Amino acid sequence: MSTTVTDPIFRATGVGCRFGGVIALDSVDFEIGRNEIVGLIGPNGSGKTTLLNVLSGIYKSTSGELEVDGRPSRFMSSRRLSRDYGLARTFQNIRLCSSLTVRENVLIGMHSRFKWYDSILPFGPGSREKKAAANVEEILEFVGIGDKADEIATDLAYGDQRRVEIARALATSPRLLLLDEPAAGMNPREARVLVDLIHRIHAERDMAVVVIEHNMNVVMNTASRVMVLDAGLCIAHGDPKTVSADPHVLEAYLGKRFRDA
Amino acid sequence: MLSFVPKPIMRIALLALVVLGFLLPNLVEPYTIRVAATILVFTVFATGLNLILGFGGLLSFGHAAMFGAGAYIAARLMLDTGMSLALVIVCSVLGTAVFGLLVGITSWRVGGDYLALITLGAGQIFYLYLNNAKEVTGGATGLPGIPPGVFFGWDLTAIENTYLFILGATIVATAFAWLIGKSFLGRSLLAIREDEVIARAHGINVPLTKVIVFGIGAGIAGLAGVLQVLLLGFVGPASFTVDQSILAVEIVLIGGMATTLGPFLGSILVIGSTEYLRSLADYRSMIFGALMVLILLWKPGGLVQILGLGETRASKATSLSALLAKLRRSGTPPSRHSAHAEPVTEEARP
Amino acid sequence: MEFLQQVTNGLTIGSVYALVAIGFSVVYGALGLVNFAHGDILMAGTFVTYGVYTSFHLPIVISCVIGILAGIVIAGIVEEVAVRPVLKSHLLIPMMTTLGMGLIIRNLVELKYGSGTLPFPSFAGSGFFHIGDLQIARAAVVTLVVAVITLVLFAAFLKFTKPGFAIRVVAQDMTAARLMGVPVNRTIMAVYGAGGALGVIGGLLYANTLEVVYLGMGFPILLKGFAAAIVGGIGNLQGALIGGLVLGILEATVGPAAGSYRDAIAFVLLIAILLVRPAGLLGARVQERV
Repeated sequence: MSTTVTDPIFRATGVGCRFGGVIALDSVDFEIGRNEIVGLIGPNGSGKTTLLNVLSGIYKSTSGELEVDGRPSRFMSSRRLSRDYGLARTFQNIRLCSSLTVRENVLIGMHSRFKWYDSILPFGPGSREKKAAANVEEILEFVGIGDKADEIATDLAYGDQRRVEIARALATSPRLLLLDEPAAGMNPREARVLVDLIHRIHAERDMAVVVIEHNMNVVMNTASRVMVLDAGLCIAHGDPKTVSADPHVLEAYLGKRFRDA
Repeated sequence: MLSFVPKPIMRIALLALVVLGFLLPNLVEPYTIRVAATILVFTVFATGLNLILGFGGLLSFGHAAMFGAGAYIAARLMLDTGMSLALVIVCSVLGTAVFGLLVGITSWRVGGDYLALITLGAGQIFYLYLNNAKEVTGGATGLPGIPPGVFFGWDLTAIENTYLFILGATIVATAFAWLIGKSFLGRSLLAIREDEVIARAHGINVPLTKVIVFGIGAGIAGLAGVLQVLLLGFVGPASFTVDQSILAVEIVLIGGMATTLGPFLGSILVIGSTEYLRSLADYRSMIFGALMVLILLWKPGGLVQILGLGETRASKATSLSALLAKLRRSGTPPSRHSAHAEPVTEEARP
Repeated sequence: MEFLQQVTNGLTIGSVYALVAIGFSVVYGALGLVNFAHGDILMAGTFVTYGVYTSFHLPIVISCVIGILAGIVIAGIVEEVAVRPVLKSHLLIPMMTTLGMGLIIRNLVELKYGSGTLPFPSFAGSGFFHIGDLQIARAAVVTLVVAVITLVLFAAFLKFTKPGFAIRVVAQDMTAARLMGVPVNRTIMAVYGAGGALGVIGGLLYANTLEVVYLGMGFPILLKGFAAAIVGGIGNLQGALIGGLVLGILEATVGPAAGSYRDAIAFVLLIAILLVRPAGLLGARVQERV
């Protein structure tokens, strides 16, 4: 079950997270190599999103060790992980700033590029604001919503809102991108476009990607490695084909009866 | 209402308004000039709060204390030292900004509604201080007889000159706030207002940004305090009660949160109507209270939105999405959720 | 002995703070919202009692009941107009809409009664009880007794009645409550009504102790109520009770030394507690959910 990754960007050892009496994550070992796509699947409530929240510093794990680039990161803030270690993420329940345009939402991702004096000198030739704006155009084009830059982000269609979230995450120039159910609410055609987008992110932008997804087509067509969580534990781990045939996985998803059938 | 007017024409109109502002002393009698100057002082005062409340989403009920700090620092300096007006302004603005930073540091620990209570408490303590520290503040009678200022050789004794000086300061303050609002700092503040988790996850230093905006907002309020001293020639605690803080909140809301012209439009309506519609004086707070509620319910962009004068970046009232209680009790402002019911999944668990 | 006298005085005013704090806390605990109209609601209810008593010459007790009912109605209106429509929007918005409603209420009362100080008919009578050297005003005894009875009844209401149970469920998780068939909208109304009633009782006791009513009475009591609620852990009802009593006793014992800064005690306490222990003395921290 153990697949060793040489020189991982991120390593979790025995990570657990509990809220009072609820054990959301029991003990999970997890590694993300540079430039790979990892799929993370599991039934509802299995702890996938909690794991993502722990990785990105939004929750603090209650046990275990976390390392980013070989440095202990268990107590790092999500701000530090984003700014200094290139960790970016999207959210399962889309979280866009509803009073801002698509462009401004993406610009939020570029926050770390600015210096304090840009706040009183935002204009002028060669200003960072201008460069950032050009960059936003490029990213929006890349995710396929270049024509919607000036619309209010939350007025967009569901699938496009997911893309804005991805664009905002890409704007931080991450080395590791965490996608939390990017295909939720998408129709099959949109999901295929998403698969393509994930491949392009991986290939053209040179970053590791972790995808949480219920849509098996998306996971199986993108991930080179899949991890299955159930009740806060990793129950299977390996390449997509092996995992989807694993009896534990079938049991977790479909119940015992189906495994024996 | 005016959104059909093309942008270049709006710009020309704005320019005409500024020119009219400068010509005003030649056109009207001193009483009107005085009212106009009062409106401008409150524009500056509310501009500071607009950054804190409109952009940052931080409800401060202590803004009058910032206003007062600026006014009292300026008054003491002008009474006790022969300092030039420019230096007085620098000292007052910086002093008030430091005061604001101190209050802002409390936002490091607490957010949202608690911050409103802390600023309320700080404002009350400041007010008690103004009334009781007689040697410094003159107590309830305040400090009368403050000499009129001289700004680089320009004598501000005449009301026309005071007005022009205040107008210049208002334009500077508004432009400054506009720059900040347009910049990454303005965006960061809006992001913090909407969703702190997102702000943090994209590298924004949330506590620091909040403290900084408190400092900047207080500094601008301090400038308004100096202008108030120049206009009135005296300071007294009655100008810095919690009611004044609430007045500033009203101006920001009615004018339009997170807009550039909002504080000005709000001041015209709130201060101007107080001066010119004396017959309505008895119903004043009812009218503005009702206006506040109506604007929050239907036109969160305030007058700026109603008149169609600019983009609306106000925090909108929504009736979307479930999971209301979720973030409220943790002391952080809840995010404005997307336009979809959130799936009740593991997210919803403790 | 003098100290004991001060503590007794402190307990009296403290129980008024406690009632106001609980009225405020029940709303905060259930909805996570600060009701800035609370002070004006309690002021308006007290004025209704005053108005009914002076114009219709009803017995004071009945006047008080009418005042409390008026408080419930006003609080219900505030909820319906200014809170329900914005319940799910940014935290700021319901705070500011209630502030706006407070301005409206205050203005309406001012139109009828002006901004002067009016004599309030004391329902406790004057005079003192003597226990040893201890001298306790009748008003103080009535205040304490009424406050304690009210709090016990309210606790029983929350614990044993169906609406009380619904309030507790809504406070736990509004979505789950809705899914389980709890009439959430009606319950929120009940929360505000209860808050209004407790506030008006506090206002009446305050007016009874001072034997005056005035337009500005709501705001200082509200601030003290905030402070008391914060000290005990905002949203925590027992905490609000303890916070109110602690604040009252502190004001009575430390107050004389603080001189003209007496009123600052509450604010200093409020700020200190929020900075050192934002969850209050009895509260526990809740982890933020994403």
